[in-house]
Amino acid sequence: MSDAGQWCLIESDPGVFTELIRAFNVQGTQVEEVWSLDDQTLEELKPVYGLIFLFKWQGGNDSSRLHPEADLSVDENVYFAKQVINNACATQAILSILLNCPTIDLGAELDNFKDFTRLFDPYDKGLAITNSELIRGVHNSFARSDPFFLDQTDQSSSEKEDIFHFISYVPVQGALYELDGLSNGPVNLGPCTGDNWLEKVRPVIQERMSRYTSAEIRFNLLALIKNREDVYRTRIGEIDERMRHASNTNNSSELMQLSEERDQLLQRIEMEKVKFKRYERENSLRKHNFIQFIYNIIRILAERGELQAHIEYARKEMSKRIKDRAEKKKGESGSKN
Amino acid sequence: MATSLFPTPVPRRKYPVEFKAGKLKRDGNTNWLKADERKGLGDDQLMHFYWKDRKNNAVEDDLILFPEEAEFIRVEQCTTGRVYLLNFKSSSRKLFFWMQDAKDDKDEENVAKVNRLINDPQAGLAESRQQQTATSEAGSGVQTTESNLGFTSEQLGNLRNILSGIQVPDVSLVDVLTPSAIGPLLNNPEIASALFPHLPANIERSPEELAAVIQSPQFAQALQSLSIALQSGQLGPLLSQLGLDPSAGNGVEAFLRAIQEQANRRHRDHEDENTEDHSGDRMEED
Repeated sequence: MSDAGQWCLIESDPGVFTELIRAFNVQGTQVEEVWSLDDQTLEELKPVYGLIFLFKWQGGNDSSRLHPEADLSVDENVYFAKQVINNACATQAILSILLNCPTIDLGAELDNFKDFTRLFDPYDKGLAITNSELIRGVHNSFARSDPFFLDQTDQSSSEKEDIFHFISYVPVQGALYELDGLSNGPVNLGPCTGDNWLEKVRPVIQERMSRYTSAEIRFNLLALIKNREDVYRTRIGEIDERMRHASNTNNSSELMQLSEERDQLLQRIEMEKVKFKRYERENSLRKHNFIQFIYNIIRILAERGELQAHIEYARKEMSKRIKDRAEKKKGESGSKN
Repeated sequence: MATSLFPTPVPRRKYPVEFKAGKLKRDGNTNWLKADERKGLGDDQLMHFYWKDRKNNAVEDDLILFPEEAEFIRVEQCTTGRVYLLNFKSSSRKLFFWMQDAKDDKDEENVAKVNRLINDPQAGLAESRQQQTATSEAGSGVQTTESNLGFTSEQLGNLRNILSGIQVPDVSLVDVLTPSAIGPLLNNPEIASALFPHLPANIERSPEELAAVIQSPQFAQALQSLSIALQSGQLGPLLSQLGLDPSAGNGVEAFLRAIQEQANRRHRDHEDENTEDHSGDRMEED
């Protein structure tokens, strides 16, 4: 059990986020990673509720605001919560979209939460999120099932602690907003419609991506989208309608084309099912306590007299790594002279 | 004046704290002299830290320590334990020692006394007079050889590394339990059966699934987490649960060693049972 109030680190993974949202009882959505913003990719993802940038500032990297603060007039229609706890970052990013989309079925608990905190100022909204036992509980259930809740930072980080940060983009009531967790309020980027907001946001995101890439800042770009299987099934329904019409008018070429489309959609539904099975499996591995498993493997190796050899191998690997790191550091300081 | 257990040619002065320790030289060569480390007031009423050769009682080091000038601390990186450092705060001078009293139960106490005497000589002396602790356990019975004082060559290597300032690396379980190390085991039906109960509930019990699990990023993550947790030294309760000595978990190598020793012990016990059965002319128990 984690300490009351403690937020654990969770992985930045679409599978984690998709299941996280479902654990909140939110219906009909999923999270996908976005690799490119070209038309085709975006078309495939529609309808998109919002986009999320997730960053990790490597400890000590003091590149604060890479975006000048625009007019921060308070907009009561936009739900904006300040980021209060580092580890809560990803969940808060997702909420920043969910709580701004009236068309999403949030389920009773999040609906209540949204209502209850609607008139709080951004900081208090952030506090409410971090103090919410429901939200924190669901978030923490996706952390690794360690029997020891040490305050672990991301393992890939070396010495200093990492800072997590999110920036979300979401259309709200005819305007495109940027919600930066570390900022003081939402930023209005201009008018948009439900259809064209992705085109409007594309240059903004591309500019950020190139800036972060050149500054070597690691990031994920995620999209909160409508559940794909639902979308495909709806399309299949439309196609069935048209196929009925086509067969009535004996339009065989149209029928064939529609039939092909239908098959493709069925294939995609299958792929979605496979993907969700994979998410389920990965999440159960993530949450599983492997201590007994690991202990038994080691015990078996010890009984077979094979353990020592693997320890020696591990020592060599570690020495190699330390040496490489030292040489890398030397190289870097040398080139600065 | 308390007399020591064994007669010595030189009359012994009573020191507030003394213990046996070997001194380690920084150039990597270790000094194998058995020696006593003593602290006490010299004739000049200042706090002295002596290191003497026990054979001839000659004083090799005589340091005068002013309060707050130095601290006597344990070297955590040395997993063999019992290596201590007299660290001078004002200069970069460092003296390494390792405890040679056969039992280590007084180590902490001695270290605390040393630090007390350095920083607050009057209080430290008063305390020690009350306790009358002067004499160390001379000749506690265990003979250590001159050559390496019971350390393996690997441990010596580690100590040399510490002295030359290289950080002693602990291994990561990720490198020990690699897929190529474990993979072959999983084809053995007995081993696979032993591992099935410890898989997540919704994973199919098959050798193929076992192989997939140990190659998964989530498993690697679990190995990483456990390695880090072991290095924190906080896993005493967990170790007890596994039937291991709770103090054995300071680092991954220590953990692995403890499991190996446990396996060796069980093997010996099993063997003993077998020989007993044979000699007792009983039916072998299963």
